[in-house]
Amino acid sequence: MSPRAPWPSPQRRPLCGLSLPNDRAFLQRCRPLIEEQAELFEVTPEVLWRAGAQPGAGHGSMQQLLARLGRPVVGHGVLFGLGNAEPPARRPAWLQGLQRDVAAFGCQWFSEHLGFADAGGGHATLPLPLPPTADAVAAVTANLRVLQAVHPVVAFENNADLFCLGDPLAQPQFFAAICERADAWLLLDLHNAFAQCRNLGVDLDSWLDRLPWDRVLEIHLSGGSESDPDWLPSRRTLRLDSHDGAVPAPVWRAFERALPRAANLRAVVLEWLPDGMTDAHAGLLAADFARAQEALC
Amino acid sequence: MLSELQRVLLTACLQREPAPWLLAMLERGDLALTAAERELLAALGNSADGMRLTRLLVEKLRLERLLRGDPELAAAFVRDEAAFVARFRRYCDAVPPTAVFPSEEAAAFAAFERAAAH
Repeated sequence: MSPRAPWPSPQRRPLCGLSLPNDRAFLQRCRPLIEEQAELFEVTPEVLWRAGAQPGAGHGSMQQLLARLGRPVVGHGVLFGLGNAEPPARRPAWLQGLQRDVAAFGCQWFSEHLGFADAGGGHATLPLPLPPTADAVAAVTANLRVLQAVHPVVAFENNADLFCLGDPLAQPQFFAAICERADAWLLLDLHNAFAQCRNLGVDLDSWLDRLPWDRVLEIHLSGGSESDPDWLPSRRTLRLDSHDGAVPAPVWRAFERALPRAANLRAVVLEWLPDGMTDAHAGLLAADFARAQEALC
Repeated sequence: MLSELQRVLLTACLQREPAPWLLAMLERGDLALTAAERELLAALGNSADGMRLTRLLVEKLRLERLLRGDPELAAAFVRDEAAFVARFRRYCDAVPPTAVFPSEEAAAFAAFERAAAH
């Protein structure tokens, strides 16, 4: 069955948006971009929470800011545990928090990172890779169904995995199986794809060629960094999705190739994590935003 | 079983030498894994760098969480980074990650240091 993308209407071009972190300095530094240029905002509710998924510092001011700006908002999560075989103890409170914030922020859809975050009573602190098995498809589907009770339109984001269970080129097929079975969308993070393919020695174009393009609802654009050679005994460096630099050339190339293929694309979101951000970085982010927006026009 | 694969993989990612640890676990033969899952995990022996780096990222995220969770610890980190990192490493080696929010990581750290002091 051919998927039908949610708002906005297919006649309108995809919106160019910005990820809004819970960071006052970022909001100040990127004020012109936020106030005048961004057409959509992506917010991660969990970074606005304290324990128990209760509204924490910055929650109220984020809600006020979004209401004042009056532009479309999409929700995004990291640690729900979309690939968890078993739900963590925090799940009921987490869902209540999501329900509250998706409504409060007026999210047009909700996306979550693909991976497992909890197992055996432990918490990974970041989403870990899933095996490309039928059991994993079933687990992700079950968790997406739970999220669909929070918002009917859900998407999952590809990670920048540092290792892979199975053939990395089989991953897009795994994504397609999840999209089909769960009636879900793909949030394609192009820097994550670039980083993962480089780290795992896979050709980025070949990986992209295999994606279920009609399921791509949103694209993330960001930069990243190389790990420090001192971190590993082998002194090998790996590409990290640190979101702390300008969008690199291979990601722009992938973006240009992606646009004509993603017929259901509704938003492109620029991401930059606020830690260590300078005015010069804000300038780079603004330039990347302008380039992405121009490509969409 | 997917839950067993995830438990083993998460534990492996917290080891200083994840790949040999994982291979040793698989040799034990008492894990509730399918043949396909066992094969996927065994192949991670070729991904030692990626798993080692995952462990470092987990530690970094826990440290960031801890410092956000307790302003006094954040001040101690600024005062003497090396001494604080040594304290943090002892904690990380002894206490597997379970916290999601900064206050939870700070509470787990305080409990660990209290227990270690006795």
